Amino acid sequence: MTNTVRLILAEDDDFLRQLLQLQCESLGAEVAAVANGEEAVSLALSYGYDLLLMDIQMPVCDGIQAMTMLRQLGYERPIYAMSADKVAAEGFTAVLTKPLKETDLQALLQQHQPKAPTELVVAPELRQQFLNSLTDLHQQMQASFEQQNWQELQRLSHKLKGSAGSFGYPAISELADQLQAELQHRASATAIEALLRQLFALLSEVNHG
Amino acid sequence: MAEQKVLLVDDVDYTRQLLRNNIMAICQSGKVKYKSFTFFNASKASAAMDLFSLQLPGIVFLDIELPDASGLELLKKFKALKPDCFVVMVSGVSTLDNVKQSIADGAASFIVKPFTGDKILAALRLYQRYKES
Repeated sequence: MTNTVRLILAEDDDFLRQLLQLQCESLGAEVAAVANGEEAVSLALSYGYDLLLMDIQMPVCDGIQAMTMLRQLGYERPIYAMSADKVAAEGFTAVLTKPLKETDLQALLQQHQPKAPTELVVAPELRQQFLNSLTDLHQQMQASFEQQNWQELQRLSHKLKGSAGSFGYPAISELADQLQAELQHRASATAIEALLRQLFALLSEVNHG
Repeated sequence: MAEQKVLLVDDVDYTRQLLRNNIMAICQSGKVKYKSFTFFNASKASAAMDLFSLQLPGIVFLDIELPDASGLELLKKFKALKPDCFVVMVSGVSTLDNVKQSIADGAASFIVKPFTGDKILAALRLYQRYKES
């Protein structure tokens, strides 16, 4: 396991976000950059990041609301506010004063070296059960597509997203997630079909590989 | 130490099994003080409700997307029956609505699938702290 720090950067100002992202990346961090508090909450709850750096004023869900929700749900990893003003809310690990200097970021990354992750235990027979289920799922998805039953197809993609990720098939999980998002946004049948083809190719590969 | 009961609610069999195996692995690793849990499983909201009323578990991992009802509806019912029950919501999507509703209805934690060892450990550690406080 490398000691790359994985951080979430939530900042709605495009220019500032890109600048901070580049700075953090040049310091060796892996950055997930988002533009509002909702996406930051969602990523944080994936428990895949070591720290969260968040602007206060953001659309959809501001930094204080996002931090408060995470703390209410017992999220204990560090959450830093980035602000030019004083922040009255309790729950932030600390407030970083804007504009942020590169030395601030460097100190922060050094302070939050990632801990060794707790590996997910996947028993071989359980993995086999999952792989066996893919054949059925493949057929069900094909049938829903043919019947243009988009709701069912979305449900199946959703299911696949969660299970494939848990069983160690991130590429399948990601494609299923894309498919689900496209279905939600009522993409064209052609777009859906293109994604389904990619997904089915991956599924066959996993089962016959 | 009193027996710790955990209820796992998810419509996919192997997902429940994965969760169970990993809870057991974490207990055995000594990362939490619990040596083991007594497990109860449900794949549907109706069965989950029956089991919950019968066993009154201390902790529940509750999937939001269930075939016969929303996990959010179940959460309300569980908290009404046993207000101190520690409910971890599990979902493939953490929309702001889902998260807000979960907090409003008394969920103790929320994890987004796919499962990782760290997520399950974070939930169990929180539960341990909750029981100690």
